[in-house]
Amino acid sequence: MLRNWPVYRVFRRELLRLSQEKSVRNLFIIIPIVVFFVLGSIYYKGALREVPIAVYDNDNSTLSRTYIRFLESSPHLQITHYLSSTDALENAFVEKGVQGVFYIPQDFHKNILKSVPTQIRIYTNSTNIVFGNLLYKSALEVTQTLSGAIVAKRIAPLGIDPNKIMGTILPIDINTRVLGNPQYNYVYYLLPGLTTVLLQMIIFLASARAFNREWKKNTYTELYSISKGNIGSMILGKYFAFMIYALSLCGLIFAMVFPIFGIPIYGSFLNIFTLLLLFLTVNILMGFGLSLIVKDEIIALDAAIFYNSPAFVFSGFTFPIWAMPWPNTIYAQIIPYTHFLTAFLKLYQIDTPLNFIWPEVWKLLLFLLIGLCMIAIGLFINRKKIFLTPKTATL
Amino acid sequence: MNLGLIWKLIKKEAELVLNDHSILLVLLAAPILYFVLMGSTYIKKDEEKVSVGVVDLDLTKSSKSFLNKINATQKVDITHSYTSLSEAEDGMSKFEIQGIVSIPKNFEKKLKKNESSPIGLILNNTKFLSSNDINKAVNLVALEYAFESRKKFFESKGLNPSFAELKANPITTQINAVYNSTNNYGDFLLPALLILILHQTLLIGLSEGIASDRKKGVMQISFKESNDNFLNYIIGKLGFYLLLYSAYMLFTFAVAFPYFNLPIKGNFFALIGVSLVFFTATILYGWFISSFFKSQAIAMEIMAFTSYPVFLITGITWSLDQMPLLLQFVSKLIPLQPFFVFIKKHAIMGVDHLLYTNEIVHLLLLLLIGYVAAFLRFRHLQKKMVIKKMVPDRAQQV
Repeated sequence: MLRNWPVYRVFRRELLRLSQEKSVRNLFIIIPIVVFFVLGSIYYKGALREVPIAVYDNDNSTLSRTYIRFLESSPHLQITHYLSSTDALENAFVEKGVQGVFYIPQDFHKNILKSVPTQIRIYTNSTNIVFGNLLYKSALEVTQTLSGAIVAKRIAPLGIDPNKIMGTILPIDINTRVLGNPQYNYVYYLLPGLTTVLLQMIIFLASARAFNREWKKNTYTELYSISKGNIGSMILGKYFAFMIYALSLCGLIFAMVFPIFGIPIYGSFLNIFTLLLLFLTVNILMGFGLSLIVKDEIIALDAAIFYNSPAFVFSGFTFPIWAMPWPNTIYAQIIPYTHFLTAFLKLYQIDTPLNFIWPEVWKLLLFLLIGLCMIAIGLFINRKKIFLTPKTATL
Repeated sequence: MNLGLIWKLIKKEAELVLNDHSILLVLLAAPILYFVLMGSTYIKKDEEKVSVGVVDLDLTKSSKSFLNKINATQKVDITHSYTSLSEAEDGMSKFEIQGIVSIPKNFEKKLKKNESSPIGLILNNTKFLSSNDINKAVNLVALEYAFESRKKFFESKGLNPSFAELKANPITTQINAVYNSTNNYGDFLLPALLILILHQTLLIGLSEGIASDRKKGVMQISFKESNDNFLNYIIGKLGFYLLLYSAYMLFTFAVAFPYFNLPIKGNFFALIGVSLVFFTATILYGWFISSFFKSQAIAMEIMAFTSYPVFLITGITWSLDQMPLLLQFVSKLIPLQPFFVFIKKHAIMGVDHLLYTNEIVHLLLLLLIGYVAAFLRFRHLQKKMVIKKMVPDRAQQV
């Protein structure tokens, strides 16, 4: 009975058709395997450690050496060069390959003893803000620790209750708790975002050729007769076949890429799976819509690439949407990935209850509706190509 | 080398591009649209007013003053006030806020008694930029309180206010973010992003053109038209792309860079010269890779997916020496890698020319590799075409 069901017949035909398409093999096997693992390997170390720095100790005193020891003990810094003149400071970033230069001034120790203000100058190579931020944080930490220790030494003999020393030196003690990637790991941060944006691109690009390719290869008549002329069956059958391929790609991401790179999933897998089903459906249907509207598969591909390529930039993942100019924020809203990403991060990293992702789910449902409308428009525009007359269908 | 022939081939290639809507879109519309779309995204360069929620259980003058100071920082905006921590955590789970500052009861009391007053800071670290900015702002405000408290202590011991200030802060730090004074995201990413847009659209458009040639058998005709001479063919075929992207390059450095306030500290002509070497190497690489495709669609799909890995492997966001050795090696084979380093040193840092000689030599070496690879591929395809032609001829004779 199932064998005669048009949806099943189209589904089976589509599975076979896709497996024989070179392009599908590239999109679903070669590209993801190569790209996902290259991207993961780039950040495989997770966190930046031992960033190379240079120190110019113009004081060469006990205290300056203590400061240098503090720098050496920081897990983020590694002193690779000791400079001996201010001339070297200028080109140290390029010549020595360091990301930061710490300059300890002359009479550093003497001035502190005399209570004369003294300043440590730190130069960070901020052409890369990842290094810039890390050095800023580490430099402030090290200097404040030493500064605090000096103040403690100064106030102790002045008659202070020992229990109040800490409260005087550091009156506000910040207890920081980090949710979602508390390890500050770059693989955990970037790889899930990059793999899921590529997931959207792959599904969209593949489904943007679902119908126009049939016209190009003159196989549409066969599809039409297999589906017994039922457009609903045609779309559903193709949808299920694409969903199988899309889910296999999700399997690659969540069952292979995530475990290999040790990316933890904090949320419920069932919730994530449900969200993924919705996200994949949206992309398949929008791709189908594009494929039905644009007869030329290459132009459809162009449109799909153009629409999807900036998805990562506009998702607000690395640079927030609220910091973009308003036309760009609108563009960000018209890409399903933006909404999926927010819901995905909520579920998989923060483990929020399902009802917290309703705003994003509603937006994705709106995209689902848009996908259906696109399909309807495509069916209307190309009705002569889609709804064949019995004579053409037989031919 | 026949200049007349080359010019004819260049014109023919221009016609091909103009008649192919897809290639036209990629080469003429996409770079401009992406420049506008992507470039304008980072026009503000940095984020401001990251939304933060507060839970003030102390509700005193001191707690309010502390929160006001946080709110006054450039990057933080206290947008939500909650009555309990669980309510605030719900707000953060809904992504209404990116961080929570929670002030417990007795905050003021402890401050006045010179006891350490703990406050809670919860960060949503799913996005690093906002999380870092909140963390930095709250810590700097806490540091201000530390100086104030130390100063007051010394004053209470009879020191005059200015001397007390010196005692309270024995070591100050002056952190100079060199080449990007505000350590902002836009200045960091935009130069590389603009070049990546040119690189990727060039590769996609070129690969489409070459794949289309192979599919339609035009390549064979082009070989013949160039008198089976590699230089005639390659300059004629790729000259159009080089001319077009030289124009884009001039636009990028003369218009886009100044528009986005990106510096060009080095010599402009040196920049143009090295950029020409970069684009020539990229075009030769592009031709070599594209010559393996026979389908325009497949060429497009594959090239489109190279954007992220090619960009990230160059070490623009992550230190190259922190990557596996194999990736470091692959990265060095891509012309974009030395070119990014060159742009950084020449345009952004403005260092002496001796300090970027390595990158120029690297680019010239890659240009040579690209040339040799394209030449060998040309000869191989030529032979293949001759054999193909001979087989039906023999079959006819038989």
